[in-house]
Amino acid sequence: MELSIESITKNYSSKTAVDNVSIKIGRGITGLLGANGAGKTTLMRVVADIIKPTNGNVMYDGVPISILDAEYRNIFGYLPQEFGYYPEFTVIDYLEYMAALKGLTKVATKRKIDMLLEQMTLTDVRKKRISKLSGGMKRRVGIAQALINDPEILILDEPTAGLDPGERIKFRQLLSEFSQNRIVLISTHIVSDVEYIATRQAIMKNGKIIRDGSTEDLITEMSGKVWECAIQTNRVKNLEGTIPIVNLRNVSTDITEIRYISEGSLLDGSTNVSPRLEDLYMWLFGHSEE
Amino acid sequence: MRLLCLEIKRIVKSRLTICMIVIAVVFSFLLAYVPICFYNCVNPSGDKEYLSGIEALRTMKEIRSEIEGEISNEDIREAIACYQEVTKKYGVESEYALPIEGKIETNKYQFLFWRIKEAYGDENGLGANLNTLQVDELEEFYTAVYGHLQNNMRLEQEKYPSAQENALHMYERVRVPYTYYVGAGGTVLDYEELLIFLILICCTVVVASVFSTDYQNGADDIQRCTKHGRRKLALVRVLTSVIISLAICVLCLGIWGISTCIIWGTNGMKTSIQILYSVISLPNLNIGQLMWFLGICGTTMIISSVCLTLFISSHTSRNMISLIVSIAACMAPIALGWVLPDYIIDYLKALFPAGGVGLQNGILYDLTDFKFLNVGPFAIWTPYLIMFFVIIEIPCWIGLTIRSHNKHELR
Repeated sequence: MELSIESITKNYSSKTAVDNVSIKIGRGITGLLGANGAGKTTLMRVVADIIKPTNGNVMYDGVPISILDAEYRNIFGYLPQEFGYYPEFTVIDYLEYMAALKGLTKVATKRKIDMLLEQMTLTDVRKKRISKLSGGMKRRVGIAQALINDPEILILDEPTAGLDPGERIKFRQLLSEFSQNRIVLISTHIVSDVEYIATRQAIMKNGKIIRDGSTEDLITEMSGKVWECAIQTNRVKNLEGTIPIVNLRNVSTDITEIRYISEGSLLDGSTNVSPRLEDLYMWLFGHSEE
Repeated sequence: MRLLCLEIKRIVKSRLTICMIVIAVVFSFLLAYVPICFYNCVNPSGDKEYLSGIEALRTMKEIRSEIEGEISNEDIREAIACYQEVTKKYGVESEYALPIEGKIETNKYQFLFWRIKEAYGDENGLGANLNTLQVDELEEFYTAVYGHLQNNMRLEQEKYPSAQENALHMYERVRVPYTYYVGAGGTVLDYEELLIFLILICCTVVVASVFSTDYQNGADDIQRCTKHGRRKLALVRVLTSVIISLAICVLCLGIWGISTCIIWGTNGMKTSIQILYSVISLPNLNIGQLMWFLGICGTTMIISSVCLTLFISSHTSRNMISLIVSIAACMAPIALGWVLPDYIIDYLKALFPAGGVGLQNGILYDLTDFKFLNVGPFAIWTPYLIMFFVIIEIPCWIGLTIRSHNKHELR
C-alpha cells in the first residue's frame, strides 16, 4: 500500500503552486505542514484527482490514478479545506447522500452513519440542518463523510479548523485508531495537529517539499538551537525584533518566559531545551507566513 | 436509483425550488382565470350594453346554441344574409359601425364574418366585402377555402412549389365541415403560451444552480472524489432536473388545463382552429387538441432548454453567471426577434431550444401560420423545424453536460 507522488508540478498562469514534488506515502499518518500559500491544498487536490497536474503523476501501488479512476475513488476519502454542503440538508440527509455517492448499500449506510454520528458526537443533531450547526460541528460532519466508506486513503485538508481543543484531541485519537493499515495525509499549518500522531512529516514551502522525515529525525536538526529564558515582561517588545522568538509564556505579571532559536545562547540565564516540531516550523518559516 | 431519489430530494428540498414551484402553480391558476375576465359580449336584454366574464359566456352559449356544431354552407349563407340585412337596416358599411342593436342582431354569426371575408377574398389576398357578395351565386364555402389556400400559398411561396404542395397536402387532412362551439378561444391559448414561458423561466432558475452551486461552494470537491461522483452523478443530475421540470410542466399545465375546462366548458374544445385563427390553418386540430399539442410542444421545449441550462451550469463556476447566461439563452429568440427581420428570425429561432417559447414568437403562431423553410427541393413547415431541433438537441446537451462535469477543473 503506497501512494507515490512523482515529479508533480502545477502551474496557474504565471504562478507555480506545486514545483516538482516527489514523495512516497505509506501506511500511517503523514503530516503535510506549511504556511498558507505553500501549495499544500493544490498538492492535495492533485492527489485527490480533482485537478490535473501540469507535469508528473500520482500512482497508487504502481498504477496511475487516472487509470484506476473510479476504483481509486472507491477507496478514497477526502475532506477539503472549504467544506461545501447543502443548506437544506440535515446531517443525516447529507451523510446518506454521500454514502450513496460512495456506493454504499442501504444497510451499510445506516450502520456506518450510526457509528460515525456516535464517534463524532453528532447523534443529537442528526436531524438538524447543517446550516444551523456550529463551525466545529460542520467540520465533524465533513470528517464523518470522509470516513463513511472506510477509505484506504484518507486526505484531510486543515481538518481541525474550527474544532475546539477537546474536539481536536478526540479527533487525533480517532485518526490514530483509524490510520492502522491505511494511508492518511493531513495538511495543516497547525503543528500540534500532527506532531504526535503523524509518523512522518513533510514540510512544504513555495511549492516544494523542503523537509521530509519522522518528527524525531526532523527535530534533530534543531538540537542545541532551542533556548528558553525568563525575562522582564517589558523587555519582550524590544527583543522581538532582534531575537527569533518562537513562543512566549507569562510566568507572572512581570516575568515572561521566552522560547527562541539560535545557534548559541543570546541572553543571560538561557537554558537549552529539547526541540519540538513547532520550533523547526518557526525556524523554517520565521515571520514570512502569509 | 437511490442516488436518483436522494438527488430529487436534494433539489426539491431547496427553498429556491419550492419558491419556483409555488410561483408556477399560482400563475397556472391565474392565467387560467384571466381570459374569462376579458371575455365580453353585447347584452341582448338591454339593461347594460355589454356583459363580461362567465355571464357573457353563458349568454353567448344561449345566443349561438342553434349554430353550434358543424358549420354548413347554409350557415355561411345565413351569416352573409344576416350581415347584409343588418348593415342595410342601419345604413352602415361594416359590422364595426353597427349600433348596439345591430350588434345584438348579428351576434349569432359574428364569429363567422372574418372567416367568410377570408374565404371569399380576392386574388391579392384582400378580404371580401360581405355586402357585395351574392348569396345565391356564392361558391361552396369549403371549396372557396381550398381555393383561398392555393391562392395564399402562391402569393407567399411564389418561388417554392414544394411549399405550396406541402401546404395543400396538409390541408387535405383537415376535417371539414369545420366545427364550432362557444367556449375557449384563441386568447386562452395565448395565455397557455405565456404560462409555458413562465414555467420555462421557473425551471431554468431551478436547474441553473444544479452544478454551479457545488462548484462555487466546494461541495463538488468532495463529490468528485467519490465512486459515483463524476459521470454517474452528472447523469443522475440531468435525469433529476428533467424529472423535476417534467413534473412542474405536468402539474402547472394540468392545473391550467383543468381550470380552463371548468371555466369555459369542454364542449368549446371541439371548435376547429380554422374558425378561431385562419380559415386555411394547416393543422387538423380543434382547440382542445391544439391545447394538448401546445402543451406537449411546450414541455418538450422546456426540457430541451433545461438540458441547455444544465450544460451552462456544468460549465460555469459561479451560480449567478449560470443563471444569467441561462436566462439569456431562453430570452435570446425573443430578443433577436426584436432586432432581426422576420425572414431570418423565423428560421434562426428554431436553433434555440426555447425558440418556440415566447410571447411574440411562440410555436402557437407558427402552428397557425404558413411559413416554410425552403432548402433546395424541400419545404419544411416551421413548427416541424422547431420541434426537430428541440428534440435532437436534448441528447446533445445531455452528452455535453456529462462530459463538461466530468472534465470540470476548478482553479
